[in-house]
This record gives sequence, C-alpha cells and structure tokens, in this order.
Amino acid sequence: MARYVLARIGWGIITLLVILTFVFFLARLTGDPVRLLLPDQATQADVEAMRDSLGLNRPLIEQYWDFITGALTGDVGESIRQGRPALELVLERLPATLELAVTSFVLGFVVALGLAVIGEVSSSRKLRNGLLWVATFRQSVPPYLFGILLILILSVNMGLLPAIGRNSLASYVIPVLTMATFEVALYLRLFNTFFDEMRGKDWVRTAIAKGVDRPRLVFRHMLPNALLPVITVAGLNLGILVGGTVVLEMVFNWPGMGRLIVQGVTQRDYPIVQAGVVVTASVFILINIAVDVLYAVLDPRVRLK
Amino acid sequence: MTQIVPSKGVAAFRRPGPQLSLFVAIAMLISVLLLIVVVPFLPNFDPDKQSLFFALEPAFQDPDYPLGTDALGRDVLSRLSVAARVSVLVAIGAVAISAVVGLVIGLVAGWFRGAVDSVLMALGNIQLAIPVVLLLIVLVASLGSSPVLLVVLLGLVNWVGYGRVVRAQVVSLREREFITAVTTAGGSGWWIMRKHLLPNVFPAVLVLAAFDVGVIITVESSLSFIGLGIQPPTPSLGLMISEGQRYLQTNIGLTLLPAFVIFLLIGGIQFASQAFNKTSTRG
Repeated sequence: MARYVLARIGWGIITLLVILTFVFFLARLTGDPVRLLLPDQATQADVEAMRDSLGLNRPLIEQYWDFITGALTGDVGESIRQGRPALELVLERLPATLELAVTSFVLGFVVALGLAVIGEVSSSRKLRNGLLWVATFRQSVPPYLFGILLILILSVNMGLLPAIGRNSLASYVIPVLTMATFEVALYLRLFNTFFDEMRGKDWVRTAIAKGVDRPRLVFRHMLPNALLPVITVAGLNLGILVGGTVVLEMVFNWPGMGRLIVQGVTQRDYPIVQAGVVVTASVFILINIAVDVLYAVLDPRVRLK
Repeated sequence: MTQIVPSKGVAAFRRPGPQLSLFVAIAMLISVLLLIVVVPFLPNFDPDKQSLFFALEPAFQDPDYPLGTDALGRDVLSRLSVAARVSVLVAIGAVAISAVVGLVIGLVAGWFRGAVDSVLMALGNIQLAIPVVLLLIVLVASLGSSPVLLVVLLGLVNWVGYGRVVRAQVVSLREREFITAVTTAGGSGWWIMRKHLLPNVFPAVLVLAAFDVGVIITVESSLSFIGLGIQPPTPSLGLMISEGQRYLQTNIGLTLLPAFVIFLLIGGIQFASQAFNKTSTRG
C-alpha cells in the first residue's frame, strides 16, 4: 500500500514538472514582456537594461532552470502589474474558488446520490424517468447561461438575492445553485447508467430470487458497485470544476482565482496566468492522489495489480 | 464454460418503441438546422447592417425585424442564424481534429504497446491535469484567437478521450484471431491498422464524436462569452449573450434568444445521448 501511494505521489510530481515546462515555454511564445512593463517613450537602451535586469538576455536553458528551481521553492515570478509574487496573489484568491467548487460538489453529489437511491428503491420507472428528464434539461443549459437565467429570475425580476459579488451569505445562493444543480444532473445520470446496467445482471436477479428486499438490494448490493466507478469520475470532475469556475466567476463577479487569471490574460500579466495554471493543476493532482488512495482502500484489486 | 445469453430476437421483441427523448432531440436539432439553413434566404437577412435609428427594438413587434435588434440596430434573427452556423461549424471542425488525433494516437499506442504506449497515455493524463477551459484560455492568450486557430486549439486539447477509447479497443482487438491471421499472412502493422483496426474502432469514435459536439459548443460559447473565443464582428452565441446581458432590465430578448438557441443545440445532443444510453444498456 505504501508503495502504491508513493508511486501516485511520484507521478504527481512528474505531472507538475511537465506542466511547469509547458507554461515556461508558452510564456516565451507570447512575445516580449518588456515593452509592456516600460512606458511608451522608453528608449532602446531602457529596453536592454530592463531585459538584463529581468534576466531575459541569458541563454534559454539557464532561464528555464531558474524557473523550475524557483517554482519548486514556490516562486513563479512577480506579477507585472501588481509587483507582488504571483503565487501569493493566486493563493489569496484560491479559497473563494475552492469554497464555491467544494460546496457545490458536496451538495450536488449528495442530492444526486439521494435521488438515485430513492428512484431505485421505489423501483418506479415513472419517477426514474422523470428525474432523468429534469437532469437532461439541466445539462442542456451551460453553467454560465444557467447562472445568468437565475440572476434574471431571482435578482432582476424578484429582487430576492444579490446578483453578483461575495459579500453576504445570500450572495452564495445563486452561484452555488448554478453549479450544484449541474453536479446533481451529472451524477444522477451517471448513477442511473450504472444502475440500469446492473438491473439485468445475474447477481441482481439472484438477490431478488432469494428474497432480498428492495432497500437492502440497493444499499448492500447495487450501491457499493456503482460507487466505485462514480468516485473515479468524481476525482476527474472535481478538478475540472475548480477550473470550470473560471467562466462562472466572470458571470458572478466572484473574487476567485478564475477571474484573476482572466484579468491576467487581458492585462498581459503572464506570471499571474502561469501561477494560476500551476495552482489549478496542483489542486487537480492532489485531489486525484486522494481519489486513487481512496479507491485502493475500497478495492484491494487496484493495489495488488 | 457456456454463457446463457438471450438471443437477439428475444431482446428485440421485448424492446418498446423508440424513446420519447429521441423525438425531442430530433425536434430540437431540426429547429436549429432550419434557423441555420432557411433564415439566410429570407428577404430581410442581413447580420451586419447597423442602424442606430432602429436600435434595441424588442422581439415580435416589427415585421422587418421579427426577433428585434441589438444595441447597434442589427437584426437579431440574422445574427442568430450566422452565430449558430459559426458555433456548429467550429464544433464540428474541432471534434473532427480531436477524433483524428485521438484515433492515430490510440491506434499507435494500442498496437505498439510498450514505451510508445506509456509515453502517449502519460501525456494524455498530464494534459487532463489542466482543465480544458483554463488550458484554452492560456493558449488563446498566448497564441491568439483567429477562428481557424480556435478550431485547431479546441480540437487539439480534446483528443484524450478518443485516444483512450481507441487504445482500449485496439489492445483487445489485437489478440483476436483475425488479426493473428493477417499477421501470419504477412500483413504489416501499417496495413493492419488501416485495413483491419480502423474499421473496427470507427463506430465507437463516431458515437463519441457526435456527443462531443455538444461539449465543444458549450466550451466555445463559454470562451466567446468571456471575450476569449470568437471575436467580433463575427457573430457568436456566447458573445451575443454577454452583450445582451447589459440590457437584462430593458430588452430581455437579447439574452434569452441566443440562450434558447444554445439550449436547442446542446439539448438536442443531450437528449439524443439519453435515448442512446437507454437503448445501449437495455437488452
């Protein structure tokens, strides 16, 4: 087990190194940052001096080495616009993004699990189909659009809730509702697919034949089997969720990491963008190490392979 | 060991009629198709003509502008038609690129196995660590966002799913007798991949691609919405929504109409996938 965990961690470190390399070389493709830093009337001599002081005149490989070693000690450069370490700026905004993503995920997953189990225990085809239709409808509206529609109904028309910002508990309602409903739809359809598949399996028929009652069949036999693959999807999805909030943060004016990254893009503040990508990837990697370990605990076959 | 499997005939007999969700999906997709194909032939079709005199007209009032006008007095119906066309073409182009890239990588990885396989699949895993939307934002910010580049980038970041599916199929196919037979007859790896593996993995790729179009439309419209996708003056659904959002209080149609077109497009594909899931898990 320890070997398995170490292997996952080693893999995470390799992933991070490749991503650092990627953002480093991508930054070189965006063009000269010096012109953006200096006022318009700067002379060629000023430009050269600036290039020297930033170390941009040194060999690429040397710059790359400095970037990687710097990044491993938590330094990916300073924000061009704000003059503070980019990583610090991104980490300041991370909690706002995480609380949105994690709350929505937990809420969505629990509700989806509940609905899927109710649908299966009741063994009512009508109820299951009804839930599935609602889920598919929800999936037909992209999150940012759903957010705008909620703002339109709950804020503009009814005046019930604040539309944007992160000032009070009430301002969480619309963003969380937007993402959580999306998660409910996703996991409900996922659980449904696995339950659908199982219903025809011999071991389910055997369980029914030997007189296992419906709740026991669902909780003891079907749910544990459905949970394993759903957890794998959830690991991937939770990482995507953290990145996917980027667009939603723009809709809700949410002071999270995503909005900072988009600002970084529009202001050509590349270190911010680099730091944002590295932090998002790190969150994703950590979540997936946790999921892999959880999976190995739940399913011994994984760690024995 | 023999397995008892009900014959195809019995399964077909039990299967009830086509899914209602399939009809809904077809209805939604046909309405978008009509918007794209028929509207350009209407007499008043002009997505670019501005006239501030007629700016911000509400929908369903002026027969010249059936769905109203935007802040610059441009005909919303014409713009919706072009925007839907752009969205669909961008998505189809991008999905085609992902499918081809994924197909090639999956075939190579699955057939050669070993180091090639490990490296290719590892690359896929690493790429997944950066969420697609964020990856695209970074790429667009560094490389620009001309429509062609956007299609290529959308396509390139999305190959992993195809690569995995194709590889998994090839890994199991290559152990089958008919492949062994070709190898013994002297068929080269390239020949086997092209003539025997490709036709076998193609259906799965096609299904994946069809459902992926909806995903890509979502991603593209999100990017356009935050100003990093399709650039004006080309009309795009995401852009129309972000412009319309400014007039939520006065002219709600500017937001709701493009939103409805997106709903029809993505919904059409989602409901089709619901119907498909039902059929494929049954019987």
